[in-house]
Amino acid sequence: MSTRAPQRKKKKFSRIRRRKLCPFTTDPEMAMALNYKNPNILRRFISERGRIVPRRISGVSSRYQRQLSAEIKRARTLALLPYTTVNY
Amino acid sequence: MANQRLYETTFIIRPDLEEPQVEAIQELIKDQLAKAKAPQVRWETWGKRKLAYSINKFSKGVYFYVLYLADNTVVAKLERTMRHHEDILRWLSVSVLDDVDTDAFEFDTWANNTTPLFYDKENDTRKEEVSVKDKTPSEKSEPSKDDEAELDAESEDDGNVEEKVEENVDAPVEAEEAADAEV
Repeated sequence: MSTRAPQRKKKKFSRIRRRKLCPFTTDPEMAMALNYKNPNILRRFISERGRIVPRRISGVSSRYQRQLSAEIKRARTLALLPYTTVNY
Repeated sequence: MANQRLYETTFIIRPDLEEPQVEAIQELIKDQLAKAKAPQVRWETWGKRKLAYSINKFSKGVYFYVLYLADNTVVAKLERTMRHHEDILRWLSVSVLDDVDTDAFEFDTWANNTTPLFYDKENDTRKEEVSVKDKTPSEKSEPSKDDEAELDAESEDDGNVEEKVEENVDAPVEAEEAADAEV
């Protein structure tokens, strides 16, 4: 028991640190590259099934999430990214 | 005619066409832009790529990209042509800049600012080209290697908690509950 108690404390501490930084706000070059012609960058923000990852998980700021989703949809139109990875 | 918009159009054609037919389609688009007196800024051939999903039962397509100054009527006409063309599978027109002054437009800068051809896992041949391009600081080229490095750094910083979050939202909660149960 005595060993477990500090572990819990550590956990709480790490939960505070969990807040992620938006990769686009922190890196201007990344923001510049946010484009439907860059599917490899967009690919980081879609799930294995091809769905757009919610920003509560990816940590993308509201402004860039809006831009990101638009760019992902453009890339999907050009078959650079999948709409879905199953049932086709 | 002083102020126009900068448009970019990407289109995909069938992968099984012969060289003359491919040329003909390119000429068709170029001619139409020329007839509409829309100055073509940049023409790019992205080549044959694997499609993320099959279009008209084709799993590959040949990509072309054109950047040009025009107004909306030109784009509408161009899209109509592409819609009626059997060999063009898909196209996308995007307005890049609004209200461009044609006289002050820096054609050379825009013409040289080519799209970095993305690294494709299926066609590994481009890997070297991309890595060379990454070293030259051009406006749009994005060093994908740096991203990966950054990702790695991030995940090292936050440790396993972050990984859990990415895998499953419920995972940390579950882990916490498990911890509670243990105590």
